[in-house]
Amino acid sequence: MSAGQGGCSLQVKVRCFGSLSERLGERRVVELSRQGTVVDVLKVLGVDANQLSLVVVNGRQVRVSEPLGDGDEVMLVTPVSGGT
Amino acid sequence: MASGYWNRVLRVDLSSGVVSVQTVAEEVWKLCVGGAGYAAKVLLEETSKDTEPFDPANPLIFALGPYQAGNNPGNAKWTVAAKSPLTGTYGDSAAGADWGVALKRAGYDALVVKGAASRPVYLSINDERVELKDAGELWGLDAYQTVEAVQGREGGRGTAVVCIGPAGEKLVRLACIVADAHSFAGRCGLGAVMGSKKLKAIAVRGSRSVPVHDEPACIRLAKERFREILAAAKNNGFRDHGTPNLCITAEAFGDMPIKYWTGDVWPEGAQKLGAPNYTEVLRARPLPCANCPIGCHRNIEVQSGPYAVKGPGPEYETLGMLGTNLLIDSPEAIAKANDICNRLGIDTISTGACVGLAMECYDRGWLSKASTGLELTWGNADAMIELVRQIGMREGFGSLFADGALAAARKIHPDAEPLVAHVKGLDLPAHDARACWSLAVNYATCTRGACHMRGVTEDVEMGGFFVPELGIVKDWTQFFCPENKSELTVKLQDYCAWMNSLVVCVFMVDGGELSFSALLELFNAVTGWEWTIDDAMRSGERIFNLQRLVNLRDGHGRHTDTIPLKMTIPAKKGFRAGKTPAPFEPYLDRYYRLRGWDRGGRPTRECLENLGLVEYAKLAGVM
Repeated sequence: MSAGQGGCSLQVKVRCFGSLSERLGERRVVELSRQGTVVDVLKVLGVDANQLSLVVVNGRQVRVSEPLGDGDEVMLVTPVSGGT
Repeated sequence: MASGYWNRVLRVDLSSGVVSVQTVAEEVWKLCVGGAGYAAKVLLEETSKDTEPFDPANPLIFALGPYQAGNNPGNAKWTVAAKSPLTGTYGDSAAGADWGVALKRAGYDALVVKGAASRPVYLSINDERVELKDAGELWGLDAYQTVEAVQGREGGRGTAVVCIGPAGEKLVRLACIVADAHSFAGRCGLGAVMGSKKLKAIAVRGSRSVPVHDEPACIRLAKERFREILAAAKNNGFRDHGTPNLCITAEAFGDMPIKYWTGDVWPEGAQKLGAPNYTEVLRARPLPCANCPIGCHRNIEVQSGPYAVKGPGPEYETLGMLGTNLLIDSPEAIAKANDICNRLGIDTISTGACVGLAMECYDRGWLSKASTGLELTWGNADAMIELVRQIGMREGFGSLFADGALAAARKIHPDAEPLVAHVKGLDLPAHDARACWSLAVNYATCTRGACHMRGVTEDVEMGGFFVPELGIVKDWTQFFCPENKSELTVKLQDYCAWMNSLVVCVFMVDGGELSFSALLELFNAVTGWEWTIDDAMRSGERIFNLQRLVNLRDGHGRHTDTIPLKMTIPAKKGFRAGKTPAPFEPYLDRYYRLRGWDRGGRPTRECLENLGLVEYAKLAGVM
């Protein structure tokens, strides 16, 4: 059951990029005990939202206040650049 | 004398052997700053629509700016420009290492080479002593051998050298100019212009410091900014992993080229080619240019096997164009191909495009092993390496690509031309405009053809680069939303035009997190001009329009401000599935309006008057 339907726990798949992937690994699964947002995922991972340059949920660019559902895919990006 | 400038341009006529020094007034620098701005002014004034790239009258312009005064972080960059053999119009490229700083220290703000020698020569510059010397024994050497040989004749390793390899000698239109066997002015085929002049190398020793407006402030600011940029680059992984750090992120966001722009996703390939695997497998270490806190270039080593190689390693662009673009996932094989490109002196981006086109045509049955001598199947690293060598040597089947991918396509098959991903004849670099839609606008309108570095808008969309002074902040523009794509492009093209005229490495701001305000503070400490952000942006706009006037004079305009067909075909899966920047025309219309151009892409009289460019427009025959 998704969190939006009853407030049970939910799992989201997290993919980290940039320096964040070195610290946390590239792929993680985060379990939230109730309906949550990207902010709650960041709390579990110990990530400061100010570090992030980009947050994408299910292929859509969002703010950290975005509500999450069970099975959502979250991409967290810290600044990477350099294309020469 | 203007602070930060010598007000001196060295001029060399290879036809007559005459060397002279031209005095340049401060007003000229205030108009165009230096670097790419000065090059545009020279190209507008000293060439015509009819000047062919290999015509001796085509000037090869090496230009510096005020940023080369002192030890400013990221000041190793220098600009080279001419009419490009690939685009037939304004073409520039930038490289680093030690050469540009040495030329400034020799007492010059720029070097303009015209004419053509009757036999191979190299130019020796040692402050005021400037000589043309015989290069007969150097002709045919690869670029690394040339640097070593010239240094052996000209004072040893302290002498900075730029040169061409065999590709430039053979007028391969993908030829680059190699600096100190370390950095490469890759784009636009300017190495072939150098080859057409039979100029093999330019050696420089410089011993002087150009006066600056506020020397104590310059020293203090340079040290402070150096420390800050170093800290930022350590924090974001740029110093440890260089540009290969981008691969995994770029692929995940659909930005990396796959199968010559016909593939959608290849995470396994990006994992193998990108950091940290790249760093580990190739034993990569930073290879910094002079005064660089980042050291994005990599020194690599493959100790044994068929791909054994040691020296400058492939950058992100090379990993993209000779890697994922061809479904090749071996960092070692790409390192070997990169070394061949470096030594023969060819641009790895356009070379990757040529190999991609060859593999796509092979896949379609338009080329065969019988007709090429190579098994050009996707992923065949050894065939890729051999084709790269042949292109650089203008030899065998590879000679078909020596005039570029577009020219090759026209010879391969009647339907091959639309497969070539280019704008104005310059091949797309390793960034996909279907992922970052601002790139579509940037590619279509960039004055040297398809280029990301004259705007770096993709780094804003992927969240790596913001400029709050220009309102470019997080979430201001978003993936797959049309809003602000044209605005972003105009702002960053102007900012980059100004930076490329200073001349500062763009990675100081994009990756090194040097703010616009801090860069401007350094600029003002050097020049004493007290410019504001608005002044700098207006300067960038003026320089961009100067370059555009060269484009328009040479026959470009709305009909060549286009995006390749492949950028309009959506992916079936992955981050950019179903998304493209088509229809593109509304973005272009908005871009023209923002620039003050008419529907044909020509600056209006009002625009030209505001920028003080009316006389230049008349010179270009544009009004």
